[in-house]
Amino acid sequence: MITLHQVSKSFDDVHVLDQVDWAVRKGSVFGLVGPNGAGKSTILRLISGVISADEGEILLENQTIYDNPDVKKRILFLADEPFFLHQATMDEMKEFYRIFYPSFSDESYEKLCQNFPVARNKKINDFSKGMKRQVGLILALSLNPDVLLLDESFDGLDPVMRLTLKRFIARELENREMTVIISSHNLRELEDICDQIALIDNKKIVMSGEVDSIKGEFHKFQIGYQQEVQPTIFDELDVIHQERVGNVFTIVIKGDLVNCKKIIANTQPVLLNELPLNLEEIFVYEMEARGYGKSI
Amino acid sequence: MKWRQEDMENLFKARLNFHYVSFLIKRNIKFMVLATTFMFALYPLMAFTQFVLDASGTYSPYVFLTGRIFLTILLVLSVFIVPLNLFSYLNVKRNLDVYHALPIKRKDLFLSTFVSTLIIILIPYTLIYTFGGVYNVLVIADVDGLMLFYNYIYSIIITMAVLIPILFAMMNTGTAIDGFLYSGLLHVIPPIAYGTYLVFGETMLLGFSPNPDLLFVLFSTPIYALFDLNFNTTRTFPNPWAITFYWFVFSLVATWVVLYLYKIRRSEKAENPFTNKWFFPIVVTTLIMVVQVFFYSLFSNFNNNTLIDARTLIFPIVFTFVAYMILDVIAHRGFRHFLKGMLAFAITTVITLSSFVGLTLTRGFGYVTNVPNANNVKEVEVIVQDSLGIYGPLRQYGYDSFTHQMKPMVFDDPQHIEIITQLHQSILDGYKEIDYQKDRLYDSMIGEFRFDNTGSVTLTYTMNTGLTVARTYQTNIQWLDPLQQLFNTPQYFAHSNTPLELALTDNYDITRLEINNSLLSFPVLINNDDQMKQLITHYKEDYLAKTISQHVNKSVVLGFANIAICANQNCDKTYYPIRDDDTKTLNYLKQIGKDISFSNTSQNNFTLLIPPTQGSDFFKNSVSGYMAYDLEVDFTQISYEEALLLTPFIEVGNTYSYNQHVLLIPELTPYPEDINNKLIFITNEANEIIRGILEDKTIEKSNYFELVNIRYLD
Repeated sequence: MITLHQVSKSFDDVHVLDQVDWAVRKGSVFGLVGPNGAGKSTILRLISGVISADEGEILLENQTIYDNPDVKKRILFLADEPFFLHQATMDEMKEFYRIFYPSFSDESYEKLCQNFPVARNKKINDFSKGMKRQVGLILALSLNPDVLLLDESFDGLDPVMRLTLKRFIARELENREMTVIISSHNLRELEDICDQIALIDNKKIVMSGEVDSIKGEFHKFQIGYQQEVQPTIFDELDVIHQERVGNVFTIVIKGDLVNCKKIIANTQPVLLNELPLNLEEIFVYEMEARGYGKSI
Repeated sequence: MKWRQEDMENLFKARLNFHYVSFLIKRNIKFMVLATTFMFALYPLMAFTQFVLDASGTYSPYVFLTGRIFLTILLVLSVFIVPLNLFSYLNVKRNLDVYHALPIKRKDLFLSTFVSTLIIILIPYTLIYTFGGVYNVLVIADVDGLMLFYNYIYSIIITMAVLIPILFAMMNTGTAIDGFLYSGLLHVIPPIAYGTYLVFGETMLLGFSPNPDLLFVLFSTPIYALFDLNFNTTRTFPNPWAITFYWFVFSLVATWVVLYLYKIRRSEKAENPFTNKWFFPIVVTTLIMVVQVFFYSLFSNFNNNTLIDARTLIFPIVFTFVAYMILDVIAHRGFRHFLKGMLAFAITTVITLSSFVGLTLTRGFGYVTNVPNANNVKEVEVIVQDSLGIYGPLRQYGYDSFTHQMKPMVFDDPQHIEIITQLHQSILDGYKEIDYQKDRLYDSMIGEFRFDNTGSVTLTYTMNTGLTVARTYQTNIQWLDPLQQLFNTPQYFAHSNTPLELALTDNYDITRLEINNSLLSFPVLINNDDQMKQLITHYKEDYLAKTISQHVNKSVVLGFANIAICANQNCDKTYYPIRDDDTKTLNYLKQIGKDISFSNTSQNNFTLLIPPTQGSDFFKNSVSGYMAYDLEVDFTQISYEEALLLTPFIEVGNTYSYNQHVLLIPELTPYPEDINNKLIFITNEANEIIRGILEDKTIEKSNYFELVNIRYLD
């Protein structure tokens, strides 16, 4: 279990996190989403022990992470652009990580290298972006970490490579209990792989839970009326998004589905369709509701 | 603050990760091979190449020395390059994230990288130093192998001290370029500050006495210490091990400070010019202040009229403004901070200028006008030199091996200390007449201050508190009059006759003692060691027995004891006057049958050189300086009998004394090794007799140097 308790972090005058409380269950695959600059990377860097919190504590199974090698041995942080030593080959990077991670498994490394062929004796600097990420993941997974932190690791990759890497992680998850936290802007990607999701905004985690549970909280309806009605007709509902074309409304609402349907039925619509809603839409509408990007 | 204290204490517990050290060394093998090859080419290979090309087939010690200088330069370059490479992850956020996410304590990571840096720097140096050193010892005789080994120890320890300011700069900056720039600045600020201190003191503070020279630089600039200890050319501190130990302790303490800075360095600041917002203002403001004061002082020195006026400020302000703005633009990566930078510069300039003017107007907050209270002085050390040898040694020891041996007078008797404070006040009173300034007004007072009319005095007081107060003055010779009260002290004898004192008290050999009459003719040699020592003992006793009046109103010179005293193959030869009141000396000479004798008849002739009448300045620079090649002087030949008439007026003197005395040059005996000591000076009191002698003589003209040199060097 990873626990963030009342964590605050500022960079000079910029207050990034304010008294954040968050818990990540062991073995879960958590998607961390939020607008640009919301603090996703900051949370990952706090969990990986790269930076320390100004206030509060970050624990892995009740042990402080920052500057604690015993705990950090179990965590691997893979940044959006993986780090490689200057002019290093993959095997040299392996040697580098072996120094610090006793859990590094040669067997896993060899197996992963076989499954995802890369030129091990070539300088990594000459590799493409996707290949570099693949190398980063091979090295990361060879360490057998208990916690894998991926900071926008899929963003910018072509679909084939994204799929390959996702399979890569999925297979590892099948084999052993590993906690994965992935920050990304691409919610479609997260939806495929994550079982939990958290939304960070305005210095806090504003939403966190099972993907299915979150999806179950939001509903999208197309509703038509015979006569012109005022938008106030939905005042009883928690509408986070509303569009209108003539007498037809498309609304996104938050709440219990049965209850929502009952309230809508009371407005006597001539048309009522429940539309599918994916995570990305939920994220967009939720953020709009919070005022993000609305003015544009 | 408790956690911080614990945090700092924990720094002592940093541990090496040997696997990581080994990994870094392996990764830098190519660099080490390159460095080793370069060092090899410049040290042993260069020496070998010289040997191969040398027609006589011999090795040159100078080529080995040059090679070792290059080797040390390469060592210093490595110290700048290697940490910037090994700690380069500090300057890239992405890399820093990975390093700081590694399961290793930050202090351990720092220590491991730091030790790897040192090893990577020192392996090539050690290999080549050892190879080159052994080669040097094998092929050149008289090379001190042990000294080479000691130099190696000094080098490796001081290398650590050279490395520290670079790491300190890196901990406070967020990019490689800023790290490099400020590493350099941290290394040059101390010597610049010392230069400023010297220029300011010499220009603005009467009595300024920096002592000892360059000590501050030796203890503030490790690169200087590295070269100073390695090559022994400018060594300013007698014990190299003490310096090495100092830098060792400095390195340990500074490493701990840098380690602490590393630990608190904020990762998110990487890629910004500075990770510590106070670093740029402190370093650059210090640099600008130091450079401004340097130039203010320098240009005030050029200004003959007043201490400070607008003209002296133009260059320093413009120069430092440009320097400041360049650094400001680099620091802020553009001109957006330009106006704030200008404001900061203006404030810095106002503060510096106010301090400078304040310091100057208050005479260094009383530095100039302060004379220590005699009651608070434990002892005072005095060194006096004057051209006429009235208050100081006649010989100018500055140019021979006795330079460092000239014994200062140390007085701890309260009465003597009181006399010295009176002397100090007398000098300040004299300067008060000319507004406490020296060099600038020195030039305008040239009529009063001349080489032959001035002296220099250094007073170093040790206060009861243990503190020292040192002052050095160039003085009008009359201001030294209070010293007459100390003439008959043993300290004064030792100071004025240092070689004799050394011969009596230390392990110096008296290698030659020759007694001459005052015309430097009829020399009598004393060969017996015991007799030589006895004679000097009696000479000292006579000196101490004389009253002050006898010292001031000198009695007639009967002859000279030409005494050569040697130590370590360095010899001093001086003519010591024997006067008619040196009773014990004269009696002893009589007792051992080596009396000063004059013959009534002699074949010797003398050249009487008459000083020019066109002003006393004429001889001031010319006879003692290079202009003497073109100097026309009047002279005539006189006989031995005529010279005898002048003997009551013979006085000791040297080349600076010509404007007061006529000069008698003995003709016959060549003394090529010591021309100045073979000149005989006649005081002005002999003018009437000289006029009588010159009545029937033909006055000739000659070039002075031809007259003097050719006579002896033929």
